[in-house]
Amino acid sequence: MLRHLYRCALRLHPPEFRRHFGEEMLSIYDHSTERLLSLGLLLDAIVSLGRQRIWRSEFWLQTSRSSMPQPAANAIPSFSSLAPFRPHTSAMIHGMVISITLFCVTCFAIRDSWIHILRVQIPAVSYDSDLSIHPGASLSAARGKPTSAMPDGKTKSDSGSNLIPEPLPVDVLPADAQASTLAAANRKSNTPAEPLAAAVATLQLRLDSYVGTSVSHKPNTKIAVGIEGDHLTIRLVGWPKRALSPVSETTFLVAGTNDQWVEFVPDSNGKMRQLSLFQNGDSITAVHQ
Amino acid sequence: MPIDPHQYLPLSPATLHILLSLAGEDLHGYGIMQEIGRQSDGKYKVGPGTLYDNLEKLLDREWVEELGSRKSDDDPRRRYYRLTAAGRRVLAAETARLAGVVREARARLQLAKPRRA
Repeated sequence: MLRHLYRCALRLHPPEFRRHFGEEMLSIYDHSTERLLSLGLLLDAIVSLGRQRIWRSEFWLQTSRSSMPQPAANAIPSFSSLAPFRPHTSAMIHGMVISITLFCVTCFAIRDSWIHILRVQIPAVSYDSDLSIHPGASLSAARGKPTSAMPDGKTKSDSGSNLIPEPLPVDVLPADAQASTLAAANRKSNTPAEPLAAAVATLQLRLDSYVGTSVSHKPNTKIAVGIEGDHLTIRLVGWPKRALSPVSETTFLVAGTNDQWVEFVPDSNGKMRQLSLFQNGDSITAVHQ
Repeated sequence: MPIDPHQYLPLSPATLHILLSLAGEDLHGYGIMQEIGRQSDGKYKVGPGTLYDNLEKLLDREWVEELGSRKSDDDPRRRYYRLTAAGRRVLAAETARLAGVVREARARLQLAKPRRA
């Protein structure tokens, strides 16, 4: 693979240089047995390629006087380039190939970088179109007041359907307090409270479908899912209560971790009938009671 | 008409080491790389790209000449290079310049030594 890339790098060198030294450079490459050394030689060939293409004067054509832009008839000078050179056509083509190659390599590196290897999951953000809040705003922003300083409160249960897949803040206002604060804020700003209150109520309805205690027989443990403010929480025996951040409608990350998440399995009515907790490569499957 | 070697001084480290490695014997590219590593105790290394980029320049200036393949049991892709008389003159001029620098540096360092009471 590296040898093939090295050959490609050699092929992109100027034809004269390649004819003269290409085979010998390849013979030197064939002497390298270590992968690291081969990689170094490949980088060396790429640097050499840049040097040959950029600094070698034979790749720049001297523009003739006749082709230079002449002043216009009304004595206003026309535009001209700074240097009396223009790149050779082959240099332009090679430059284009190198640019495209570098672009592809960069895209590939971004896609398969160490971030991917470490399984850092970036939640996909999408918005439910039936909500009347602005699509770009978070729920906290929609409420119009910062919520981090508010105390925790009781939860409210109703049936619901879908969840808004948005990373939600952990320290939030209790649901009842949220509604009254929201109404007060809206009254103050002379805006209609109904759409935003409806949004909060819809969210509450949807979260309720995940709530409940699930039992696992292997290992023998219970997993409790509840609501705190506008987000779900999970509690396992031996665990502190943790907040859940939605990644999709059925997948939630355990807050503060990168490798622990919960997957819910809904029944035909939309109620969750089973959940699986994944952590450190293991999983616990529990059935809702 | 022989060239004035001083107009090319100072030489770049790569050029100097390549000329220096060819001063003793004719070598192929890989041999030059190894000889440069040996001369500098492994502190200075050139890759093939740098080597042939410089060799191309030296061939253009006729400081080095190409001999082609030599030994029958050798890799046929290898070509041998030899230092020309012009190259030797440039190397001698650069060596003299560097000797002057070293002499000057030593003299100044000697002056800068703290005197004993």
